[in-house]
Amino acid sequence: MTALLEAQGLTRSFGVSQGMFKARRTLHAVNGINLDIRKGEVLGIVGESGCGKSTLARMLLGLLPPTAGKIALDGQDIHTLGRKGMARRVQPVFQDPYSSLNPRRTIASIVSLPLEVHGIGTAAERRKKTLDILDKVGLPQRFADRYPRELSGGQRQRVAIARALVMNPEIVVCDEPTSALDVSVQSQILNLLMDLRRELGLTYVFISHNLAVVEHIATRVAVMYLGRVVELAETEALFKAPRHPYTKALLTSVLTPEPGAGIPETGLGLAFPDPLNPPPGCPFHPRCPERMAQCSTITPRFTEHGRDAVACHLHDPELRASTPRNVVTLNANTALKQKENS
Amino acid sequence: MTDIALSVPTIPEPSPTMRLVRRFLGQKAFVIGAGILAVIVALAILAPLLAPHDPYTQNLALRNVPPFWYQKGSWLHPLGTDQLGRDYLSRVLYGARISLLIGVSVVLISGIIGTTLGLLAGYFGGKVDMAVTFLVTTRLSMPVILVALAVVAMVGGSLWVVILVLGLLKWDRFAVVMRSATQQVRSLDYVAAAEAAGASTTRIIVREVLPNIVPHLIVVATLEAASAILLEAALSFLGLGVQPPLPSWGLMISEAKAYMFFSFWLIAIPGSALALLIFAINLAGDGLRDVISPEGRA
Repeated sequence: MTALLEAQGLTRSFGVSQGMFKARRTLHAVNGINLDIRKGEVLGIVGESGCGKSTLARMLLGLLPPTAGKIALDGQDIHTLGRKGMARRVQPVFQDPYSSLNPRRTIASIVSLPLEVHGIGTAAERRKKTLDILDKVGLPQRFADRYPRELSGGQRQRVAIARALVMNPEIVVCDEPTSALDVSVQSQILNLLMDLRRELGLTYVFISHNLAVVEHIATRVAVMYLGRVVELAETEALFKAPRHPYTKALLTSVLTPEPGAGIPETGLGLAFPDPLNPPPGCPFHPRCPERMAQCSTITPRFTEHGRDAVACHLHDPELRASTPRNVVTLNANTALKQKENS
Repeated sequence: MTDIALSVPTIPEPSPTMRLVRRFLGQKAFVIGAGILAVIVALAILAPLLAPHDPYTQNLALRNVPPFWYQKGSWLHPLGTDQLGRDYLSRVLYGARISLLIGVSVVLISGIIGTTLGLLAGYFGGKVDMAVTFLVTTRLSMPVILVALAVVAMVGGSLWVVILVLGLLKWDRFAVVMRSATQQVRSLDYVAAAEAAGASTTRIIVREVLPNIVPHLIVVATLEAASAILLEAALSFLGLGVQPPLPSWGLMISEAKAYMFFSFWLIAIPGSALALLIFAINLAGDGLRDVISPEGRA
């Protein structure tokens, strides 16, 4: 399978002001991500709040220029495609359907905006296309001349999906498309997305913090932590046999509807590290239940295991061969020497 | 099971416009302010029909005639005459035209300048924002009345000079408010969606941002209009604004000050008219703000 959308060494940092007389500090929201999105797949991206999921989504959409690295669509740098060129092929569905629809425009006007921008068809043709797509996302055509405030959250999200699909894009980047919705509406929207994908042959990048949703919809999953992808695997493999300790912790964090089950113990502790001041070595090591000496000094490599890949010393064949597990007394220098020797 | 629903008489849901009208009418301050304002605007527009005399015709035989409620007053000149024997009611009516003209034109000029600057600063941020913020700070460091006095003293006073000077000076609040309103809208997802749809920056600003900041614009415009009218009156009072024989309220107060102790009404009538107009505009503006953004009530 070839990559439709490919990110290489993708990095985005922001200058964060610390006050008037202090130097600005750099926050690496996304830190050297390599991803390939294959035609026809649903790539789920999961991670905690603040791990850089949305920044990644904005870069994949071409809304935010990366600080370093590049994104290629069909082998062509998206930088050279321009805003309009990207718009024809990649479209977004955002999280909050209350802020993603202009409150002063009718539904028809919102959905047909992309058509207008690209000068497609006459006004009558655009109107027809708009009504058709409303039909396709399961909205009655009489909604066309209403305003967003007259619609419910689920209906608004359908409008947002209609707007994304009206140009027949190849890729839809969904940034938490269901997390602002009621549970009962979430499944409707998910099923709609799945149906549309089958019908129109779409490729999805599906960002979510909800593992159940991702398991349901994704074919492959990338787990993000502090701006990096720590594990990338086929959905079934990831949920059955997670490799990275962080993925394991995430999976145990899923709440069950069982009464009296309490809140699951993830072993992560409460503190999410300060992204301005990320821990050295593996960014996950302060919270990792299986940390080793080298974790605090050496950033783990991304190693491939069949079709999956993980960035963890536990699964690095070379390091695993040379170090006994759980030897916490090893100091940093020895760990470094070992790396040099190997 | 649908049959039951059909038998229930349906109460028509009020349309969004109807609901907005009801919200406006629920605001007593707005209703009173807008009502007074509407009356003043109507009087100003209809001044040629309503005024009993030509506001410029002098009659030195009938100088300083008191209003009708004094013993010496007469219904021929309901509000009396001024020191040159001109009918005071006619002059007050025509004066309303000057005040409203000043208010509207100054807000038009300063609104266009301030909104453009604020939109650019709020939308693009970064260096553009820094430049605009610097301009606003510079502008705020200059007292309007002093600069206006200096310019008018150099160029000479006239109605249009006053409008131009005030228009070019009073854009600061527009810029500040529009900037923050634009920043808010800029960060919303529908702007990102329009960008992702390939819309040009101009289209996004005009179509997505501007319609959503218009409510703020209206509120600032009313308050600035009131302040412009007051400034014109102050400049005219100092002899550097509208020039005689034009019947500006500020000028009328100024001309009357020599007779203040003998013909009290000469200063009280245009003064009250001015106070009433400012009161009405501010009341309407405050009410408007409460209706449009109840969360912004200070």
